[in-house]
Amino acid sequence: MAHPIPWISALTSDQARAEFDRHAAMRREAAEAMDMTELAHLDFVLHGLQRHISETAPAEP
Amino acid sequence: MPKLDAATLDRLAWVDRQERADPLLSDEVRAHELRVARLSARLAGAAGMDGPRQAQVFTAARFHDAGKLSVPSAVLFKPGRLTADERLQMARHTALGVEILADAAGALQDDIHDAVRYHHERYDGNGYERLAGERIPLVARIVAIADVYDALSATRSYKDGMAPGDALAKMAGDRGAFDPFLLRAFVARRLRDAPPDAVTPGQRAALEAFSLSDPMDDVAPGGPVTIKRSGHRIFWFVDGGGNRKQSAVMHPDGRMQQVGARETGGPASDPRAATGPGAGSEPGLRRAGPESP
Repeated sequence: MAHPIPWISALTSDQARAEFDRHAAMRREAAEAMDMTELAHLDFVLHGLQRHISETAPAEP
Repeated sequence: MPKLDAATLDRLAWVDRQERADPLLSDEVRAHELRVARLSARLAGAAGMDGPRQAQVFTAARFHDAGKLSVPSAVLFKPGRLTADERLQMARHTALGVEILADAAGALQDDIHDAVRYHHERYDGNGYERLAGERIPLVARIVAIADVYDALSATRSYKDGMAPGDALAKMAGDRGAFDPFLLRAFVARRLRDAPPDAVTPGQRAALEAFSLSDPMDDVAPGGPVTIKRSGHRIFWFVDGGGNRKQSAVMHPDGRMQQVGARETGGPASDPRAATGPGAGSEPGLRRAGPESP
């Protein structure tokens, strides 16, 4: 069972997508700089956001 | 592969259960550790280590990020970039991992300790604990390469990884970061294993040339270790007056000689046993060159 991440849980699906894009851009910069500390952190955030997006996405008709 | 004692097995099993318990940890820590373990074992093989030694490297690398279990969630999942203080908390995962795995014992204890504690060291001395060159234990130098490659290239559920050719080119471009011998062995091995379309023809040519190039090219003048064409490694330190002084020589056959001391007999096996900046060589490690892996 994933533990809840308060700031991510509070996001709407659209907000979560925007945050995902913002953090994905940061991750690309960290990868370019080979900043392993920031990369590890952003992987956790992106994974949490992606999980939240899939859980809050409207059901397909 | 040495037999693991009961205390070590219990502790490793406990860490594995903790990592499996949370899907985020399972995906971000455990899956990463397993990929790094496989890459590390292959690199150990490419560097000339025998099967049992490769298995030891695998097990040590498998738990290299265990300390992330103890990093506060507020840091792991913090929105936006980390502050300087938060980066320090994140960097503590190496020390926290050592605490978590303190009960691990037996023949693997040193390898696990070294992989966990030192996998963020850079060969040029700009890593977490500022160890440089051969003072970084060999298993940690191996895991460091595999760790960065996986972070750059692994495809996750939420992103495509960097193409192998791009990741290798990036690593080859950061010459100070990695053991120059091991990096060349790793590049050669990955070029051999990568699907043809994962590396562009131009990248393949450049990376093949890199893998065959002289590792000495990466050793910066003024750095903690100088590798002479004869195969001798010269280790340096800076004294209290800021003067750079030679502390030890490693002969091509692995014999260590402290400056002002008599030669030691045979290769040193424990890097931490050396008193100067120079550390021991790994018994059985064949340095990668044009003929290997």
